[in-house]
Amino acid sequence: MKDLLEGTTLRQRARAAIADEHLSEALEQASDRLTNLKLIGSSALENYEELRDAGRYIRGRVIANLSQVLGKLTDNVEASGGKVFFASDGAEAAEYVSRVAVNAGARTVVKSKSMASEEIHLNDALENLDIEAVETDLGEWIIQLAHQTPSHIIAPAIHLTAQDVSDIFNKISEGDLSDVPSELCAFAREQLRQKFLESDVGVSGVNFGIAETGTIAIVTNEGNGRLVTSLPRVHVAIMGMERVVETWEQFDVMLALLPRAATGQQITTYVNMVTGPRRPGEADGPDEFHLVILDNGRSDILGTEFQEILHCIRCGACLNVCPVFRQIGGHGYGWVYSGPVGAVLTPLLNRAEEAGELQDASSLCGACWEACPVKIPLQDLLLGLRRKKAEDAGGIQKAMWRGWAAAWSRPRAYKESVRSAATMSKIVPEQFAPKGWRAGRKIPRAPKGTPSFRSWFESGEK
Amino acid sequence: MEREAFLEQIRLKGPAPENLPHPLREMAEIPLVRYVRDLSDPVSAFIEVANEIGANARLISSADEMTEMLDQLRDAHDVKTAVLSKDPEVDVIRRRFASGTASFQAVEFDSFVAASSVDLGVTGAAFGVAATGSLVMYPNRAGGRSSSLLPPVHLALVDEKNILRDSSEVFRKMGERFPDGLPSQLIFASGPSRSGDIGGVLTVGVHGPGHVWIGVLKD
Repeated sequence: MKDLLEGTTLRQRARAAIADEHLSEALEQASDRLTNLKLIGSSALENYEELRDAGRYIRGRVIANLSQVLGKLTDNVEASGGKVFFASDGAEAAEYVSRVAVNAGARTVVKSKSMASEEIHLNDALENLDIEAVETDLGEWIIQLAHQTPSHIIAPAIHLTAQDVSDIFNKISEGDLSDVPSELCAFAREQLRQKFLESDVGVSGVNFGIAETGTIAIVTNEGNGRLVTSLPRVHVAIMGMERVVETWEQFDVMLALLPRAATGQQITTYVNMVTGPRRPGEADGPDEFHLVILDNGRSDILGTEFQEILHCIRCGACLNVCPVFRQIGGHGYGWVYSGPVGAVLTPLLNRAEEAGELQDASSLCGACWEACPVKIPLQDLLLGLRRKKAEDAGGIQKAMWRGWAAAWSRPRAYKESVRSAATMSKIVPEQFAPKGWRAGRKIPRAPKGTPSFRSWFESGEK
Repeated sequence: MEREAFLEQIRLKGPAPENLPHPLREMAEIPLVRYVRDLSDPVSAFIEVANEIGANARLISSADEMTEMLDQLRDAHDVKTAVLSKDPEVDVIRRRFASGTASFQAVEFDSFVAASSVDLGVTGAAFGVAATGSLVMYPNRAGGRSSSLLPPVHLALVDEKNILRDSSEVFRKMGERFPDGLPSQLIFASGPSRSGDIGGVLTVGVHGPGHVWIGVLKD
């Protein structure tokens, strides 16, 4: 996917999103639908809350012992005949996958949804080698054909109507397709099936690595994850290094949480658990299995106050409940990850100056924390990022905040500061307030003759 | 990057600071997943849940009932050809195709080419999972991966005695279920392939089978 971070501001992206009436309506509908489904899905369990606590505990335990857990995963992948590659950054990862594709003589690579592959710009790397990279998740394929970016982690093409999709498909179809979703779906099946049958390499993401047996699990509803791991001769799975659990017992809990939080389903249509390449006597399946374990900035988060963001299992529940996401959608965040989790991850995984405003795209209401199946306190992390940004900021801003902190921590100074602010607000013209702050606000002015709260309170009048 | 350097870099980072506003708590044991639905009769719960999520599931207790299901399936989806997996449950109907008494043609599953050109995939399932209506399948049993995946219609046969209560009966007993080690691919399939990616409308069969029939074989 294209990075929007360069060259646009959060404000510009947000304004564009809000101006798009169809997008706003679609986002609201999708978010409401997914939030309601999540409630239904979680209420089918007697102990959803207990499992959330277990989920947080499991993720915390794994991240605290990450090097051991990854070591074990690697040993077991290799024992089952797979290869493991450690990529310290996106370029290394993309280069390795490209090399595998070239060695396989691939002209086409089929991909099931993988956010890690978007993070490392894999499609661009492959296309530079004249290798076609085909997204096979229906929503991802639609936006790939339309040269757009995903508007929602679970529903990437939610901003497009069936008519839009029909127009996009009609550019590659010979016949005239209607805007009936089932007909469009049948067309996509036929087109993509051909790609599956002729591809030499399949690239997938990983929802969970399971260290004790060297297994990777992929959840999908469409079945493209199964096709990618069944038909091409080579399967490459790309995993963010934190996306792992130690045991199948832990996986059982995570699998109870992920689909319920994402779409409210009791389970996704397909859960696909791969341990190494095909075995002798099996009629199909890849001869080679490669697992790419990706750092790309994640290890810099370890050991910091932001470590818990590495607990995230990418369900998208925090997006649907976020009052900011519901207005601006995925495009507003400008990078692979959106919503509250994106507002935390993007500044941490990118250079802060590029993503510096994203932590402000939150009302800190905590709805994301409440929705998170592994209870990541996203609002604490966002607040921490804001604090860090203020600490890193220079000169005047820092001095102002220091003065404010000094004044408001002593009763007398507090009283004086409030009194002088009241006086100042009466005499200083509005234009002197900072421009960015003034946009969209009206400075409150007390009517003449109104006593201050303090003087009114001290006078004892009712 | 070298494995050791990569892992060492992680090891050196140390634990997260201790004074976080929401510290992590230890947990004595990992709880089981507990369902509101009554799963005390797993077979009827399995059939009920599978039907709820869009499959067509039923109990098969006689050869006549099997014939009835196959005829219905043929008529509903205009089935002319099928591929048969190597799962042992498929033997129940394999004889029909061998003796020519079946109402459609069938070929044996020996490559994905065989599976990619037929109307129906007939497979067994090692287990059925009641809580989620899931079929549990794997290639060293079925002979490969694609017989339950490529055809637009999937018929799965599963023995009544192999219906389990929930996924914990598999995931928390992996050693017992797979004493010789894990299969190269373990699949939980629950209902038809589905997508909501076009205009938010549910469509089935974009990649996997759009129609799933399940026969639970009575002993």
